[in-house]
Amino acid sequence: MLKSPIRKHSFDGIDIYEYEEMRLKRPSYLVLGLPDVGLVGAIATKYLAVNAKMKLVGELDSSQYLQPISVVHKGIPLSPFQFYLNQDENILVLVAEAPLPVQAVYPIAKSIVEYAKTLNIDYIISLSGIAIPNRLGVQKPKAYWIATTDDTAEIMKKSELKMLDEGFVVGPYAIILKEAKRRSLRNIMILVESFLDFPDPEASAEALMVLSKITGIQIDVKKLLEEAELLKLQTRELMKQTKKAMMQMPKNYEMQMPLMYT
Amino acid sequence: MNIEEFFERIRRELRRIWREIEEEMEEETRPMWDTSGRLEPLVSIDRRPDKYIVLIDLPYADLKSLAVEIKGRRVKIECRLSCEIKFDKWSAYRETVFDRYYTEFTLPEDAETNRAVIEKDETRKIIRISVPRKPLY
Repeated sequence: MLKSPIRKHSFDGIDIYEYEEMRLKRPSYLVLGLPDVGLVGAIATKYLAVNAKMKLVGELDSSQYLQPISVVHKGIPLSPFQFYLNQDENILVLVAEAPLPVQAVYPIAKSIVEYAKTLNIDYIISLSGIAIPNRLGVQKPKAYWIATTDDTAEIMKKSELKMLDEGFVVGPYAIILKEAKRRSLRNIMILVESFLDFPDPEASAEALMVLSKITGIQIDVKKLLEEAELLKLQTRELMKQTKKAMMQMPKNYEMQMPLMYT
Repeated sequence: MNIEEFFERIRRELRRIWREIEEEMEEETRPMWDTSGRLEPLVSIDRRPDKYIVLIDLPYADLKSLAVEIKGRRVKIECRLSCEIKFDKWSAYRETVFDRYYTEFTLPEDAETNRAVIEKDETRKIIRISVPRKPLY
């Protein structure tokens, strides 16, 4: 059974509870898996937390912005938003088992950035999908990146990935990108081609392989691909709820061309 | 059209709108798992200028048992799973053995369902139904 939290950080109605002293080794990473397009980030971070045998070290909750939901795992009641830490103590992962209600997007996104600053996180890495209409015909989805600082952009330019040149990002990751940039914090967003509204474990596997190259953590995605069908079956309702939340944002902006496109 | 016919049309339209609202509310709250062992699959409908592309995600399905019935604009999908699945630790459905998919949905009014084309992606277990749209002119 979990002990009581040893610390609580509060950011404008959002509470982050810590169960351990958070002294992350450097370079430190905060990996985000908020439910979004194709549940790419959500599936990736869940797989990472379980298969890298990460330790539950914190929770995010809000009596003001989130619905009264507790998830129960092994008999222990938890917030649907949990932080896990790897054994090398340099990768903190946010796993989200519920989508963010639209009214919670701004405050939670900002609190994540503030928390990252509090912990002196070196890199915030957001994992997500980018919906493409012909995903069924794509065998190997491509990954794109967005970076918020020049030094991070230089690192990513040396990778095989393509920069997301022009487009829109909608949702909590959009707020995190903007807030990180304004605070000169390093945020890398990885977007993998995926289905919009079907869970896409193949895209999650691609996201994890990119994450592995950035952080150096060893991730074997073979089991993820073997369990893909089970994951898709288990996450149908989360995908349905996420789709409803996305449509309120409105997510369809991501399919538009920006006015300033040149 | 006289005044009675006019108001009758309004009443019919309001009943139709109310039915759609009720169906949408029911869909939002209805669980995708059923104690009878049925699963509801995810369905995605993409409107293109000349057709609708309907994708149905059927993980773990035995696509040889797939049955697609189209009557008017109503589409019914049934398919057995390739194996029975049970989730012992899940309190809500601990005793349930899931063995099949079932869903029904209605396509928009301009869908020409008599010309629908059904394709199966055996690897990804996704069904694709392509339905032309009636031209406006």
